[in-house]
Amino acid sequence: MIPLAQWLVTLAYVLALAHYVKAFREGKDDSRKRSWQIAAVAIMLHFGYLVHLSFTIGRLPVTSVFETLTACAWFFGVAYLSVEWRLHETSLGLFILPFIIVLHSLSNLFLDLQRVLPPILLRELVFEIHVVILLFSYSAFAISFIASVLYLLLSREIQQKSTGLFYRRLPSLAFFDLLSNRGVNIGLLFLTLGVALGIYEGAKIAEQFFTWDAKFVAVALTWFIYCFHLLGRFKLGWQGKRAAVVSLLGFGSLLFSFLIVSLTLSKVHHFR
Amino acid sequence: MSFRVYHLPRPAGFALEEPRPVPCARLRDQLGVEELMCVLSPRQFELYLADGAPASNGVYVNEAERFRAFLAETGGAAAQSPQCEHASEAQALTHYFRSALGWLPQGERDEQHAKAFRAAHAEAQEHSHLGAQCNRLFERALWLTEKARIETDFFAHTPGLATALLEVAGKIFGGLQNRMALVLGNNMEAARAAQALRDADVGGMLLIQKASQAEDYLNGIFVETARENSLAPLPDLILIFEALHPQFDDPRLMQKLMAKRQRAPLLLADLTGTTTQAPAFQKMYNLFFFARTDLHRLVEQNSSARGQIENKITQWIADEIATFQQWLASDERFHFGRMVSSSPQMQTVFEMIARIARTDITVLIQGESGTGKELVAAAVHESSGRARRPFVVVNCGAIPESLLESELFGHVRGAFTGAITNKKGLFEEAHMGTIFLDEIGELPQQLQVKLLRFLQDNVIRKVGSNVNLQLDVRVLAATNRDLEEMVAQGKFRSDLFYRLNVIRLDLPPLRERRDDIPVLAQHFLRKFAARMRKPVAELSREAMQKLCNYPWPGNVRELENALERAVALSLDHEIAAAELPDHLRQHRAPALSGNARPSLKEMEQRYILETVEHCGNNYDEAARVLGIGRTTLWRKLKEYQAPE
Repeated sequence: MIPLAQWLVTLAYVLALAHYVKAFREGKDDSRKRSWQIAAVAIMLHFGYLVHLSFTIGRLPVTSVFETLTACAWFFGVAYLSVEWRLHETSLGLFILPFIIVLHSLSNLFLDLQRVLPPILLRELVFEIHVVILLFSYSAFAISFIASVLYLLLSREIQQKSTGLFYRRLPSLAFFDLLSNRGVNIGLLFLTLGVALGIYEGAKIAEQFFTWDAKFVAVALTWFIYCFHLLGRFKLGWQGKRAAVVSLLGFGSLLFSFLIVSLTLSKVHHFR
Repeated sequence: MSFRVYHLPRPAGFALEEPRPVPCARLRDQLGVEELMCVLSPRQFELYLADGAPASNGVYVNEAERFRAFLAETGGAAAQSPQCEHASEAQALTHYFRSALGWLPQGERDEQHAKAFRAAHAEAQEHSHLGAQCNRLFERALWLTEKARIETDFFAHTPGLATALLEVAGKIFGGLQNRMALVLGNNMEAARAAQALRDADVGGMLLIQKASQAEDYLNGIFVETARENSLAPLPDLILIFEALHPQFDDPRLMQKLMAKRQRAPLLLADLTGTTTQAPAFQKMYNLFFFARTDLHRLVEQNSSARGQIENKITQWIADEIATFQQWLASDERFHFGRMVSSSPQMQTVFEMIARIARTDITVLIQGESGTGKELVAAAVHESSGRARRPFVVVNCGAIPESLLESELFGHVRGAFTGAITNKKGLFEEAHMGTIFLDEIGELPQQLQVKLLRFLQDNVIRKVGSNVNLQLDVRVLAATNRDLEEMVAQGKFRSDLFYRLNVIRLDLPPLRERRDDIPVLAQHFLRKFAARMRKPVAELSREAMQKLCNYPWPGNVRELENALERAVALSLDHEIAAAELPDHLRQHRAPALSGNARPSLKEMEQRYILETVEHCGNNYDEAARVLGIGRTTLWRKLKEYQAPE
């Protein structure tokens, strides 16, 4: 049942992506609207799938790698929908959906439904809140990342004075700059909250605030990069390209800490 | 240069060489000069200016002045047809559709133009009544524009240099509302760009036209002041049309400027074509530099992509024109709902119906008996969103006063003697639909109050009930009496009158729209011939003349009955004058009736023919009565018959 639902959700996302590609190439209003609707349906399907999953395993699906990946994909989707709804700009879907599809498919690789309960600590509500907050901040960073990439692409097209598809279909540089900055602001706020909560809870058990574990270091690095982004904008007056590049760096570091470090390097963060 | 009136299609351009003579001639006659592009009439153009633009806006005033001068030169555009621009009607129509799209032959394409086109047409619609042909054209043009917007990239491509600039600015800054523009140059292009920026609602603009001003501005920015920020605003867009000051071509100045602006994105467009510093500008951080050639390249790239779309739209326009000409040549254009008319008065009514049908507004239809009030009401109902819901017709004069209340509003059991069951009123029957109250003037006073209450609160109360019933019914009312006078006499409640009189449709009597008689006669003829299975195809010339001369006190209904009788009596494929009712046949046209002023010759012809008929085709008698010789009479009669 679960693997089937998993594939169904993936299929819905792929369908939505196909419509976004079509809308981007043709630039018609009605196909744009339809792609938006399909994406919304896919995200709702995904939500139903997550609810079903929670009932199957008896807790929020945020603990194992499989669960976290698919939950993260869903959070991206929700963040994207809210951006689209607030800003009435549908051209971003084309670039966010591949992300969601990749994350969701990746979760397939780690699909395990063994009934083994995670360590006692990971079953606490505080832990679940910690993860949900962090997933939220990740999706904000992802939006910021995509906005920054599009900023750089569009800026390149304008500099080269060619009126390509990006030039025709995308909104303005100012829009991406704003979106990227907002993403970083929101993401950083939630990252700080989530990490603080994690450290607080962790310190209760390990009686230690910080270890030189790879996960801790990578997250700290990410946090510093995004703080630097904030500083650059408010103190050094950075706009546009530089801010976008820093946002890219921050997201790279985030991916590194989220995917690679969590899976391979970190020992302490597994609490086994 | 926000709108260019001269480029709008000239109506008089219709048809010098006519591929299809009949419809073309008709179109030209019917559209008239002012009708097709009403902006060309000076009065309307002035109204347009007065309504559409504040007097303080210099450009508009200048435009008006130029237009007046133009009129003085040409001796008045409305009075005298301007020079023909188009070889054929199809070409003129193509131009019309293209103007709606803002797509004009010579480089001057922009969407501003399309907006002006619409505004002008809308204004003209407010201030005068356009013919049905013109409205249909206009609606098709709007439809085509929307189709182009939805289905193609037509409007996404940049048409001209100024708009290319605006587009680039839009891509960088999004909206220009909070941006500051600096325009350098004292030529036409600079002025045009300034106007384009103004139209795009730029936050602030500084127009520098002299070298000394440029000097002042630079001093204003860079002179050391006590405060860190100087008073002169810092630009986000710099458009250089003339090399007024060497410093503006200096990367060092731009560096300083960028530093002062905290390196926020800056659009620098050098349209002089003389800059040597382009590579240096290209390299600067967050500076978007555009030389003249770059902008030209943008325009070119767009126009090559536009080619295919233009072909497609050209095809659409051709289809549109073919459909239009077909429509124009057919009888379909005289029809609206179940009504038939070719007169301008009724076309106005039709147009009004089409406009108000979609709303839920109350309509008062006034007209003499037999003018088709019920047909108008039915047309309103059928063109509205309630078409599939009930349409209830109540003739208030036909129901006894004592019963009217329970008929209209219903009653509950035991409300009065004989009320043995609950009864639904006609209002309730019409729920979600339309109720048509004919002869509203006959409505008794106490029911007028009840109706008013319904119109205001949408609730009724059945007779004998004390429960309010909320209903959704659209009310149409009709009368052949002068309600205003009844109000003055106190026979009709004034508050109800004002509530009903929101929209009033006045149906002109048939004698005031004689154009309609032949069309209607033909229509009824066909209708009755089909019903009675008779091979009647046409009216004889004489019969038609009789019909046209008769004053028709019973209006269209009388005409219908006359035709019914004639068709029933006819033996031939043609209806002769003898088959018309007697009173109609014997009616003599008064020497001078109404507004029609026939020529002396026409009067003479009419009088002679009538006299001959009066004397029972006795030429001797007729010649004696007329006081002319018998040969003269014979010659004249022969003359009259000759054209046939």
